[in-house]
Amino acid sequence: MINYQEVLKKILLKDEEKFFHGLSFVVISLIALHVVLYFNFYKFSSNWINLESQKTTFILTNNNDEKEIPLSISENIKDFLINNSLIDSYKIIDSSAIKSTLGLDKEDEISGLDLPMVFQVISSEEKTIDSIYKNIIDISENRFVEKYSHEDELFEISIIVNRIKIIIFIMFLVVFTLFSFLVMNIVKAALVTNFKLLEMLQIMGASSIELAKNISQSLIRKILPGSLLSLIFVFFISVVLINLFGANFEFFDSSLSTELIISSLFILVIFLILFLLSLLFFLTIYLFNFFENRFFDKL
Amino acid sequence: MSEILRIENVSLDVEKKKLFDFSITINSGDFFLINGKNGVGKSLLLKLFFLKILPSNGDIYLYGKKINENEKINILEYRKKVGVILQNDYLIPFFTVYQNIEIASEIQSKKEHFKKRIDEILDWLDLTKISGEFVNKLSNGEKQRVVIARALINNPQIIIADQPENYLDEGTKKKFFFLLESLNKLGTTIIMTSNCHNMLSVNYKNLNLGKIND
Repeated sequence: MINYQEVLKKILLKDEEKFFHGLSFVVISLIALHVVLYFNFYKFSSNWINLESQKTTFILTNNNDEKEIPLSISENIKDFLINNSLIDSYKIIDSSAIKSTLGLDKEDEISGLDLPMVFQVISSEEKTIDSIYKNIIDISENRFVEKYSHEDELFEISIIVNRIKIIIFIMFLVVFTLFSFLVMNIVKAALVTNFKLLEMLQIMGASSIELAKNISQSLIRKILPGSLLSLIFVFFISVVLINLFGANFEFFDSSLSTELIISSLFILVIFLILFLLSLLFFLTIYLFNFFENRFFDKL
Repeated sequence: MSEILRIENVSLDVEKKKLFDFSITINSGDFFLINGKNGVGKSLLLKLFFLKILPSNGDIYLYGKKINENEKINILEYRKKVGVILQNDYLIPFFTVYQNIEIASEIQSKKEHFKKRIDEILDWLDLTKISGEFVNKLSNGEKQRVVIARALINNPQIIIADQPENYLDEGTKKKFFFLLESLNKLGTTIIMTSNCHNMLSVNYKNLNLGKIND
């Protein structure tokens, strides 16, 4: 027995098959790239913002008669930071690093610049930070101590990050919509060209849903090879991107790289399944509507 | 004889012109011949009979039930029971003669005894030798025979034909009209337009469109 779907497959888009493979590869690659970028950017920025928001910078200013914080006090502070179990991690920014950042590493002896002691503490607990602050004041023998929570300063950055995410998402929607319109218009053109053949099927009793279902399934089969190829292509691109961008982040290590690569592959597969299913769904609805509108000839 | 289609005070508004305005009842076993000059609307009327168009005014009853554009399921069931032979009928060019006939069975889900039926029809219409040929390589006469075979494959309750004798040679025309008469005697309803009514020996009902439109 002849397969009903074979008829539609042969009637429709016989000549456009290669074009469809190429088109689906290019456009789905573009859409998948947006998806990968969105989720990786989301992951990267979330990780970075999360880590940064846990940081608090302490600035311990020396007294007027001191050029630097006395060594005994700075050693006590170090010991305190080492022995405090509530602190996740800390980082002391030594005076040479500050000078280097300011471009003053060769001029310190003559500049007479008073350098404070700067250190960063990582802890998500606000109580811990408050207790560190009190202890540092005690240890520093009531020298002036300033405390800056990075979370407050990250507010504007997180707004920018969210805007970037929205832009990527909008671009994804634009490309997706354009692709859907393109596919639907190509399909419509093919249907209109071959409508006399399809009309005969309708006259013989083929229902609109039957025709719509079979044609959309047939089209998805034409898109599938290009889609799978684009999945592999975008996966390799995402591996390169993760390694390229990840190298610039201090929280990035090889285990995170593996995690991101696996999650990228997972996201891509899920995306492709959802993409093809939604395209199948919309195509079926569109085609159903197309055939229903032509169920009766208009006078 | 049971009622299949009843048309009551039906007319079509085509390009600001009112066509037909008539009533008719089609029962199983009826044989209608539609007459009229060119352009009078014979093909349009046939479309009304296989419900490809709905009337602008009046009512249509299908097996006694009034139908409208929302009764698509019933209309589809009806269409499956109709064998249609149209002028300039479209066959699927990428398919063979056999496949073009087979597709009608596939759509109308009448697969039982298909093999026996298709062999009989192919033999009867002299299509057996060319059953494996692609349709786009056939002559017009051969294509017309394929269209007839496709319309007959599912033992339709109703045959609607628009000048089915087109492109057929004299011998095939005689055979075809004989077949239509035989099917009609077995209870099949026939509605057709034809210029070869002199070939018919059965008592048919004349539907003169010239008079209907007047």
